[in-house]
Amino acid sequence: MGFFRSSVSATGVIGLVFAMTACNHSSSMAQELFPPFIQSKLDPELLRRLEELTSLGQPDQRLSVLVRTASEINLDQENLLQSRGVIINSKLGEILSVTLPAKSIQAVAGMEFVLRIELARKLKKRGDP
Amino acid sequence: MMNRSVVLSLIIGFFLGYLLSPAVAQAESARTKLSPHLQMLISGNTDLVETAKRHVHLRTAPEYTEPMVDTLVLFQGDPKAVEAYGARVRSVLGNVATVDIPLSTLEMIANHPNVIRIEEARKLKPRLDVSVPASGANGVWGTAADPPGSSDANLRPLPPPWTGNTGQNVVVGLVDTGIDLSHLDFKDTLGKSRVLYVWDQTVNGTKPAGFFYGNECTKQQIDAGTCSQADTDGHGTHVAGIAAGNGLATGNSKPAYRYIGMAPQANLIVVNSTFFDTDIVDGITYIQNKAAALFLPSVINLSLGSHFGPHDGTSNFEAAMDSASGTGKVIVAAAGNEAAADIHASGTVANGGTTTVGFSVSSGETDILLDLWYPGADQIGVKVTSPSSTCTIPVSGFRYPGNADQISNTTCGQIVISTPVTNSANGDHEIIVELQNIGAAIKAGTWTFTLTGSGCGSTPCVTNGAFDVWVDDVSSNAIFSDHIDTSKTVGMPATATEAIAVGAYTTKTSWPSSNGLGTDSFGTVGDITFFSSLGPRRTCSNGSNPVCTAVVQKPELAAPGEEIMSSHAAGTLTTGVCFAASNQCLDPDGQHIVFQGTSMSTPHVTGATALLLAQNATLTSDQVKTALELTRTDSFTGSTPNNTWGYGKLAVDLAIAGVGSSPPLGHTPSPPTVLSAVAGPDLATISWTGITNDIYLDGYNVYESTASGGPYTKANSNIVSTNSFTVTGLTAGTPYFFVVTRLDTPNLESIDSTKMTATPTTPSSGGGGCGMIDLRRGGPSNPFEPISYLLTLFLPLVLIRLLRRRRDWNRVDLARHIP
Repeated sequence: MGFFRSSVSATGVIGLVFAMTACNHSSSMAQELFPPFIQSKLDPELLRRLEELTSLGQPDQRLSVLVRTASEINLDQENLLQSRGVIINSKLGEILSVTLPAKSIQAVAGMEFVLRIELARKLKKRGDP
Repeated sequence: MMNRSVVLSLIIGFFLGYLLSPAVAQAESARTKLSPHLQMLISGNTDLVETAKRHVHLRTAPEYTEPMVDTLVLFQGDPKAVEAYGARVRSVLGNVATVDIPLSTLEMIANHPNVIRIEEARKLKPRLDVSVPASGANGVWGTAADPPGSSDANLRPLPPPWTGNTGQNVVVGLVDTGIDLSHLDFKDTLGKSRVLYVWDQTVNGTKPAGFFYGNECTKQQIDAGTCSQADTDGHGTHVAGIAAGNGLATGNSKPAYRYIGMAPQANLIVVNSTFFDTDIVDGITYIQNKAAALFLPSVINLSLGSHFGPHDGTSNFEAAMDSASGTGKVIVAAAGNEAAADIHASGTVANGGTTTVGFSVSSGETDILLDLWYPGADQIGVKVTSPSSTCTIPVSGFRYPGNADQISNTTCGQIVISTPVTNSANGDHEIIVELQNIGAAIKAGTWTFTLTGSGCGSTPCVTNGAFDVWVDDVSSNAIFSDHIDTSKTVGMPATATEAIAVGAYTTKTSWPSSNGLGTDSFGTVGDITFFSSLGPRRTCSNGSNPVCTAVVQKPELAAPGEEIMSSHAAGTLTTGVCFAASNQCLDPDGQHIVFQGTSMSTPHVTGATALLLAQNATLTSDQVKTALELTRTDSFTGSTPNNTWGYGKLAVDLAIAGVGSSPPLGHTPSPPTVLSAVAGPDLATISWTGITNDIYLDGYNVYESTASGGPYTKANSNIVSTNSFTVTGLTAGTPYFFVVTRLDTPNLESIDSTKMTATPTTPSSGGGGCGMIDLRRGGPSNPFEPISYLLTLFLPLVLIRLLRRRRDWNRVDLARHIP
């Protein structure tokens, strides 16, 4: 997960590894928690990230994500997002670049005007092929 | 007496005999080995020799007794054999040698059996040099000699002063690895930065308004040298140079303006990015907000990409590019370098059947991610098997859409399989397979994943069965070993509907370097590069989504991208960054370097777009695309559009013809308000109201004249950065007139301020040492002057008298010299 933006502590990662080593195969707890209509709004890597943070007991961990809304959000919708701890960095039409606590993902994804949430991904420069 | 016909026959016979003699035949044979200019050089015809000398480099050196012709010799056998005739072999590369040949033995050496052909050394044209003229930019800039629209302008480098469109009043935005702010390619001739803002997202500091991280520098801070941002990679500086460098930087006695970017007078706003897509979206927002506040159109260059996502325009990141495109707002993105990288595979799975795809993993990989997409109507199962089948996940059966993620720690590394429910944006299914060196190292070798069209009970699993899968090349170097498909290798965000995706073609294969001639054996001049990613973009299965069901041309066009010489960031790598020998990438001037990639072709289009927007700021992103479809095509491009070239080769001189004219309002610098001109002895001090909160302001010029109507001459040698200036050396008693102008980036000067006048006064005598008074000036005119005159006259006398009393110092009696 090195190229997903997060700040999991080393102890947390070790804890996760320990938990996984103890249980050789594991399935997503987060996926089981979220109803399908919420899952369909979340990208798979975000689901995995939530699962990790759930297992680590770090629901307040902030995540950097791109949120797509049905249309450009109005002030009420912005307030609603902010009430869930969402910090909006930028707005490009219907796309918001935000950070928010992991625990708020489900509530935000459940908002009618939110269509999809995707975890930040790292890109690569295209020189020196 | 012989008649005339006999004489004529004898002459012809003699001449033919001479021509057919072995010596003449040998000489003629030798001459055919020489290039035309070298043949002219030994012709004996004065006019031809003089013409040849303009093209031939004659090398002189103390050890040479005569001028030596600098040549390239194609040879067989031992090239050193020619040294018996006074030549000196300098270097040998294959069967070509660089040889200095004495003019007197040139023909003899050409006759040597080891010599196949001799050509004079030819001076290479400097290069952005080739790529920028090839893209048609010179013909848009124009000069007095080659006015805008002149096709001749595109045949050679075109240094300033330019008379046409150079991208002024357009913002070129760069989201990249930053920029070398000290590089002269990004300063104007006043030495002021053309970079209006820099936002460094990678450090903490003064956050830009509305954002919560990073450090922002304004132009004033950049000009003051207090901005700490640095490009420690070099990629961003190189990209910036192609899009908007002005070619001013040089060194080692090389002339300036050899490497001029596409829009050499555009304004720059730079984001030094983390390369996370969220931050890139922030960077785009930042640049567009700044440009909007300045009432300027903008084009943003994204020489970056990824293959993790749907490749169909529906990811949030791709959608952000569409949102960021509009009137006066254009996004240009690199198509990618993956045409030959084996990072895309495709195939079909039959209902009830299985398909197995292999991928190779090198040792030492830490994180490998495969992203597979297939139509939402299908239900395809997946399992993963390691090399030698040591580890197979899941142990029994397959994972299907909607199953929970499978995370397995094995002796082959951690294996994760994600099979989420249908993607809400495009209606398709996604499968993610990720290998990480958690718990154990990822096993090197050929892994496989198997797709099955079985296991859906009475319902058919597959009705379509087509799939596409990409390796995320950001995190790993894994490649597919079968089912390889070079198509659909245009990466994101270039796959966004509104983004202009740019492929790369070759415009040169050799260049001067600080270590001899650099050469590239990969490219063919005029042809697409081997790495330029290919279209089309993927289409989705969600019939109700017009974005991903539409067929969108990708890439849109191609631009020069192989061996491009552009700005070199100080302190960054100079070796191993081009296709030549590792130490042949840096130009002899030490300020420019050769890189290649669609990272380099993209800023050619970005700069071209800046020229289009400078011509018409009201163009929409779609209109810019349509204009850029006017390309050059040839036997390499074939019929266009196609998935390799898009519409063809960038030709901004053609594109600009049809875009109308509505230049950006931009800014026309207004002059400062002059408050006063106060006279003093032989001087006058001019004061004005300082201009504040102007991002463009570079400073002021002060002009003087003895006539109200001018002509005015500049009084300051350096730009005035304060709000007053004292003009000295004036003639007392003569009325002077003064005007002030304001200087803005880039090289813009306002009209004159209102005139102010002052008449310098007669200075007090500065000759206190001699006690001399210049009586010609007619005495003092202000009430304090008598005191100064008295002091000038008597102070030396008083001092000397005091000294003589105290020291008995009588070697010099200055008082005697007072007239």
